Amino acid sequence: MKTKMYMTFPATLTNTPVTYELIKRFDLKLNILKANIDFNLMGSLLYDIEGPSKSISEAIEYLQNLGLNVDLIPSVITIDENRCTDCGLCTSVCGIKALTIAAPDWKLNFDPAKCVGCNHCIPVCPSRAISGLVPEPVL
Amino acid sequence: MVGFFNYETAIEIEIEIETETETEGHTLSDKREKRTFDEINEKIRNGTVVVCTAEEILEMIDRDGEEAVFEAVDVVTTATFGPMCSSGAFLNFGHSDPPTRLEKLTLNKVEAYGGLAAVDTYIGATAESEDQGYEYGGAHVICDLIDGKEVVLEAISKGTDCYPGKKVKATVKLEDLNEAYLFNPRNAYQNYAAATNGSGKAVYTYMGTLLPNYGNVTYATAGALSPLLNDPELRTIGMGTRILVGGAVGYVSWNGTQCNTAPTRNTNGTPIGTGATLAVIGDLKEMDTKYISPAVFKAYGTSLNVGIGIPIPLLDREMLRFCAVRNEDIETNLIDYSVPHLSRPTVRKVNYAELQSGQIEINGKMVKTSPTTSMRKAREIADILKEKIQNGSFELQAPVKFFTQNQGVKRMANAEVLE
Repeated sequence: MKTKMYMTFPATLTNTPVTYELIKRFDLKLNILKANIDFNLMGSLLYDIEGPSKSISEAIEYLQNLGLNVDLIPSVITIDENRCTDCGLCTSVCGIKALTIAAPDWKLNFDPAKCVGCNHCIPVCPSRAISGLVPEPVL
Repeated sequence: MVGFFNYETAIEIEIEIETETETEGHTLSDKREKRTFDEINEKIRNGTVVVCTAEEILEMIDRDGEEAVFEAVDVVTTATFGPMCSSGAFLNFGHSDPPTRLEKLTLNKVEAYGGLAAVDTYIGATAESEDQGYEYGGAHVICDLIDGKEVVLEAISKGTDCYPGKKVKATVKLEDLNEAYLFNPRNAYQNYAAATNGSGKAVYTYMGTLLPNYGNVTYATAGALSPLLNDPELRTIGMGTRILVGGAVGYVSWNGTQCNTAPTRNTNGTPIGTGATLAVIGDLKEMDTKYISPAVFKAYGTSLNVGIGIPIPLLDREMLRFCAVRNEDIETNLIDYSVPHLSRPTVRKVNYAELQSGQIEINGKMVKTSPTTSMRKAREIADILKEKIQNGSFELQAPVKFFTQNQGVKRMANAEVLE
């Protein structure tokens, strides 16, 4: 299975190399999409994660036992269909082509598996129809 | 054809038709009226009118040929839905007791104009709120009113014998207002330049965020479905034309501001780049935010997405030919928006088939193109208009005045930019 995993860890665990453990112990394919440490030393990591469901479940249990908050998220953004006008402007900043719009139907199409969570589409959407599930780092 | 249809030339043509022989060629027969506004309205009333959208007519021509389509179809519906900054609404609140003149006023903290009579105002779509900036502007106030939401009016005045109140606050809904009508000075741009960015850093515009080094291209208009591209010389659209605006029945009230009726044109009559514009009017109380909605552009400001649908009667063969225009035959200029001057360099000419294909070539590189106009909404509006005409609830209004042709757009006179 392939999904996205978002985790936040308290300051006490920010120094723990969990990515290493996930690869070494659970043989998971990880792609780090976003990593951050805030002013309070609270960390967050967003992965594309791939491996057998069983390994992923075991990995989550391991992380939770360590004291991390872990969420498997199918999508990094949500699109409010009532607000979206299908103008297509968000597609202009989606380099990975997770957001696309085209003839013949000209309806916005979103492929969550392709999305890397860059969040560039969020401020570009004129209808404010897109929200991110992963907060942007506060600088 | 650069000439413009007006009553004088119409009379001339009639005379020509009567006096010249029939072998004069197709120009005359092309201009001879096939059907009039009155005849079309008669057909609308008796339920025999034939209507199709500006997209459908292309398929019909491919299938049945131009002649058969011309014989069969009476009206073509066109539409667009996109950000139109030059928009706003006139509102009348009725009087407070004691009366107070709204000299300086805000609606949900968005400034509205206080230079009219006591309780009249105009709120512009791009006005920004005092506390939320461009994330909430005049466009939001207008759409909140349409949605039936409460809006807070706050106003101050110097106080006079006529209007002794000096400060007033009221919570109002659309139903509480005497009049509330959209009056947009410039909508429905005939055609619009496509945007890109040749500089090394991102540019934030009303055409969206333009990525560095020709990183993307954005474009407006609904192309072949767009109203004024199907009547490029405004032969059937003028003051008084009945239209759909924001989902309500509205009217063309004047030519739009910066209306350019002397653009560089293609052989099919469509302008290359910007062209004519319309001023439109419609009752807020009949609108639906499905067809009018606020738009926010990062580091630029607030705007208003306006849905506009315009019927075009196929009065003669030339009108059919105009309505038969295809995306590949409509061209615009691709402009580099990174240049901070009024005249920006044209990167290349591009047609709407290319723009709608999703990518175009710039300097040997394929660059992604994205629309700012919602084709999905535009189609919906064209379909609704078609249905309304077919079911007899929307008759066509012939223009009571046509707009001046061959008139360009002037720059600001004697201007010195001080900062």
